[in-house]
Amino acid sequence: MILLPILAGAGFKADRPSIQNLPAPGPHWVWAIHSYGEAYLLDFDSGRFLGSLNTGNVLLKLDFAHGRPLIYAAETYFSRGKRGVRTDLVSIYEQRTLAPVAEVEIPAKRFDGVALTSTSALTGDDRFMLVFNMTPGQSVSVVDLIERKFVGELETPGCALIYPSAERRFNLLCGDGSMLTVSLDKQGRELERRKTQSFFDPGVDPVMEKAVRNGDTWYFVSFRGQLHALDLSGDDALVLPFSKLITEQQREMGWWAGGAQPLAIHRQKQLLYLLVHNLGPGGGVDTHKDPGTEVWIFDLQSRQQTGSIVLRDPASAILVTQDKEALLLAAIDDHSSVLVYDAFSGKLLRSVDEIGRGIDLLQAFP
Amino acid sequence: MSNRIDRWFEISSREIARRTSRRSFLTRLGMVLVGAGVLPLLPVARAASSERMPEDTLIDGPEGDPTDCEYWRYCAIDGAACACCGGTVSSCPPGTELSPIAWIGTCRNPVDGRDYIISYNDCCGKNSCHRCECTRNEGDKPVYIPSRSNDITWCFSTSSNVYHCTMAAVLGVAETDRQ
Repeated sequence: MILLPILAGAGFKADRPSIQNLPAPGPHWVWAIHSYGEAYLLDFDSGRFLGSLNTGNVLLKLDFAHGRPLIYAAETYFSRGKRGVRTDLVSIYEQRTLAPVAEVEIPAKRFDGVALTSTSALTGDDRFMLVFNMTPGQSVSVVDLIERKFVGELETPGCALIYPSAERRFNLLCGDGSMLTVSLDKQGRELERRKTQSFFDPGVDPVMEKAVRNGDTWYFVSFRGQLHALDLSGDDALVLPFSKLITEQQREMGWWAGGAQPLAIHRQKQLLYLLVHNLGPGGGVDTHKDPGTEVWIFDLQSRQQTGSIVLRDPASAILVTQDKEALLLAAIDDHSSVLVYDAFSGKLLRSVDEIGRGIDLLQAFP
Repeated sequence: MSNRIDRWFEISSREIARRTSRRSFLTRLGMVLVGAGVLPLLPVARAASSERMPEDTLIDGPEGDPTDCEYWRYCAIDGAACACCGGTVSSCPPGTELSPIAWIGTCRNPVDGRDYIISYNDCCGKNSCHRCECTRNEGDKPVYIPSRSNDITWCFSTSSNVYHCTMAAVLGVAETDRQ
C-alpha cells in the first residue's frame, strides 16, 4: 500500500482494489466474437458487460467442453507482433476467471479468414480439439485436451471445415459437393474415413458453410434457400429429405438468405431461424453475405414457416438461446450493438450497445 | 462463362488433390493461381492476350476509380483496397509481403464489355489498412471452393500471415464459350 496523505475521517472505509471473477452464469450469457482476436461476454438480460478474452491476432471462434469449466481458443502469434516467428496454439482459459491456464502448441497452419463456427470443434466426448488448417493445403490438427498435447495432423485435400458428430467423428464439406466423414480412435488417431455422394451442386447452388446442429443432425442452407439436413450420427452421413426455406416465387420477388451467421436454432422447440433480405424482384444473386432485415422462423417438424420478425436494423449474425424464455440476438451490421428479441413472440426487448470493437459472430455461453 | 471457370477449377482442384502430395499441390496450385508463365492453363482467351485493356481513364464514375468499392475490378473483392493503402491495383504497399497465391474473380470491364480474370492477391505482414474496405461477392463461393472464396486470408507463402490489404491484378481476358 502506498502511504498517501489522506485525512481518514471516523468510520471511513477505503476501497481495496481487487479482481472480479465471473458470477454464477445466467441463461442469457452470450459471447460476441470480434475476429481481430477479441471475445466479449455479456449478459443480454441486464446488458452487463461481464468480461473479455484476448486471443492472439485472429479469433475465429471459441470452443467449450460440456463437463469442464474451461474455454479453448485456437490462436496465432508472431514473435514481433505482426511479424517474426509464427506460433499457433490452443490456449486454455479458466471459465470463472477468464485467465489463461495452459497452452498446447500446434502446427503453424491454422486457417485464417472470416470468423466461422466451423473452423474448429471439440469431439463429442470432449476429449479432442480439432483445428482446421489451410496452407493452402487442407488438413486438421488434433489436440488431446486431457493430456494437453498435440496428437497429429490429418490431411483432408479438397475438403474444408469441421462439423463434429457422435463421440469422436467429424465431417468436412468438399469442393465436389460431398461430405467427408473421419472417425478417430480413443487416442485421437484416424480410424477410418468415408465420403458421401455429392448432395449438392457447388456450381449451381452451393451450401453455406454456416450450419447449425441439433444433436447429430446438421442443418445447412444453400445460396438459393434450399435446406439440407444431414444425420451425421452413423458411420455414413445420411442426407434427409428437406425442402426450400425460400420458395422460387419468393426468390423471384427478391428474397435471399445472407449474413455472416444467417442460421439459428432452438433445439427443444425444433425451430429454425433464417436471416433474409430483399433486393427487389430479380435482384439478390451473390448476396449470400449481405445483412438481413428479417428473420424467418420455420418449424422443423411440420417444415412450415411459422413466423417472421422484422428487424429494427439490418443484422449480420443471429443466435437463439436454448432456454424456455429464449432470446433471439441479432448483431447489427457494421456496429457494436445487438438487438435482443423474445425468440417466440418476436418482441423487441432491448438493444445492447458499445460491445467492443465490432461483432463477427455470436456464441452461446455453454 | 463463369460456370465454365468454376467447372475448370472444380475439376482441376479435385484432380490435383487426388493425385498429388500436399507440398506438390501447393506448388502447382500456386503456379496456376499466379498465372506466371502458365497462362495457357487458365481459361484465358489466347487471341486477346496481346490486346490492350482499356485505360481506366476512359471510365466515367466510380467504376473507373480504384479507391471506390464500385471500381470495375473489385467485383469479388473482400478487404481493404491496396490502392488506398500506399499500393496500387497491382502492387503492394511498401514494406508488406506479396502473397503469390490468391483467389480469382471474373469482372466485366465497362468500356469494352469483356470479362477479365482478376487475381486478388493479398499483401501481408502489417495490420489491416482499414481504408477503402470493400466487400463484393460476384461469383464468390464458400471456403470449401478455395479458388473462388474471398473469405480466406490469402497470406500463404509469406513469413507473416497478418492481412494488410488486397489488390486486383488483371491476368487476362476470360475465355468465352464457343457455340
